[in-house]
Amino acid sequence: MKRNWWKFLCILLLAFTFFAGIITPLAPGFLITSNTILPTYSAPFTVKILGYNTRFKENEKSFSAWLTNWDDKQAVNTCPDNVMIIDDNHAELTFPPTSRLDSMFFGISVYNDADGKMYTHSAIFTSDTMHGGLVQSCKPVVKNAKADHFSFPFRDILYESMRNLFFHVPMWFAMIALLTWAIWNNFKYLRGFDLKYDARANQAVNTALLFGMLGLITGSLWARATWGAWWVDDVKLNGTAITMLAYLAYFVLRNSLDDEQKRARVTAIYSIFAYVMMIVLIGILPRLQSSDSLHPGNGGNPAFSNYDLDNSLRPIFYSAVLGWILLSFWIYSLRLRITALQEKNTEA
Amino acid sequence: MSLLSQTASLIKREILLEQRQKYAFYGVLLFVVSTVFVAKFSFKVLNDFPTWNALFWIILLFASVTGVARSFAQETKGRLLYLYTIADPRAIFLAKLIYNSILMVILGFLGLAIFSFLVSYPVQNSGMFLVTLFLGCTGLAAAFTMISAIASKAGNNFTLMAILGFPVVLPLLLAAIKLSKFAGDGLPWSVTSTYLGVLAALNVVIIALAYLLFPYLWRD
Repeated sequence: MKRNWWKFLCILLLAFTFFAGIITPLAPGFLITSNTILPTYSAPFTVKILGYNTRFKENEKSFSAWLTNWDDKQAVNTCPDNVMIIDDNHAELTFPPTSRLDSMFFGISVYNDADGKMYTHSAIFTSDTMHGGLVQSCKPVVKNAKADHFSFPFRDILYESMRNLFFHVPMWFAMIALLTWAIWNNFKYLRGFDLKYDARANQAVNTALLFGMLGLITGSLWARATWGAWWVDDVKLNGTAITMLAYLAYFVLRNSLDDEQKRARVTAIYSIFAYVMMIVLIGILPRLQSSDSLHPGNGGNPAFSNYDLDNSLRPIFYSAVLGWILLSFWIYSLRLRITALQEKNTEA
Repeated sequence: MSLLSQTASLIKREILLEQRQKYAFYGVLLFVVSTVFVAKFSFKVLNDFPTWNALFWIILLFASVTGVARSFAQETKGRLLYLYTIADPRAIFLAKLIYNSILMVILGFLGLAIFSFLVSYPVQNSGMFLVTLFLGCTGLAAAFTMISAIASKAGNNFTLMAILGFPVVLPLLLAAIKLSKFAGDGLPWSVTSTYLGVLAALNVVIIALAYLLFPYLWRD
């Protein structure tokens, strides 16, 4: 029991990941379902708002909304003439006729006491800065900046698919951890030529490939939901696909050699070679500028930790990473035992 | 004998073998020429620089597979055993590496000449392109020397050589293609220094790894 504490930890962490990662609601947010181009003629302008996880009707009294237009120095807020709350998730705001403009883009803020302040930047824009614009300046009252319950951030494009963070990203952590373990064992094999280490390295690569496949599948699903395609031309995707090819070649190489010691030696050398190239391919090349990537932290994109990884996601994300790595080593240790037993069987 | 003198005499051996067999170098050169013709006839007009660039590097990649693949495959079992008893494995590797690098650089520059003559030469920053070509060729030679050694242990299978080699040389090839794309577009050196650094570092990494691992591969 004492030796298996990490398995219990793994179950605990993954249970927490699944539970907290799925149950936690997304923070209230909204989309604009009407025309987002401000008319250049002087007429009232109506914005239709579709709330998500919002309680507009329930908190009608504290409801307010305003447009924010950035002039040279400070935000100028414009409040609507007329607010019509249809239900908890639908509202219509009518803004007064426009006459002046400071910039081409407007953010929209929606507020009530329970949902907190929700903001969409550059929500409304105009094609003509000469005519149109909003002058009435108002000072909205914001009592609670955040929603009154624990939630994940509401992000454009990501929305609910944000939860995939706890599945897609840890798969790669697990894969890299296993491959690193495999390389460590390859080195150990080359130092003493003990076949025990070869078996370990081989099963680690096997399991790493499984996690790589899972990473590709979860990534593909996520790409479909956010970027709109199952497979996009992205350095990181192509890099991982190539890594898969390298490790599939590893198995071909392994099967083409009969002598145990020779097989162990040759594959250990190839595996070390492939590992270093993989680090370059998925670790270094995508991070360079102008390498067109959609991934955070790549191709000049900011990394998750800069602003994307909200504090509400952090504890779950870290436990997911640790949990999946532990699970991958669990699977690896089982496979190792199975192959050991199979070998014993064939010998007997 | 020291490592260096062993290496020097082994390189001489490689060159001597090449002079006797002849077909090897000229064979690969002919391969490059025919591939360039295939490219020329299938594309008719090739004004698009990215396509020109990609095609050029793909031709070089296949030239290096066919050219460098022989380096261990051509050795008979008896000759390998003889080398094993008299030479330091590191010297054998260095000799193969240096010889293959020279071969690849010559092939690369000749290939560029043929490609420019038959297709076109749209490169704007030639200095940078030539540096990229040099580093790309030495990197390809180093990676395929190692892969050829690995494949020779598994029965000299050409297919195996390709499937083992392509994923491994891809980072190098990507960096080289990117850099020569920059050179083709005539970007200044200051912009491309990171990629140049990556390409040079990849060369160093591949050579160092191969140099350290080869002795383990060599003993049978």
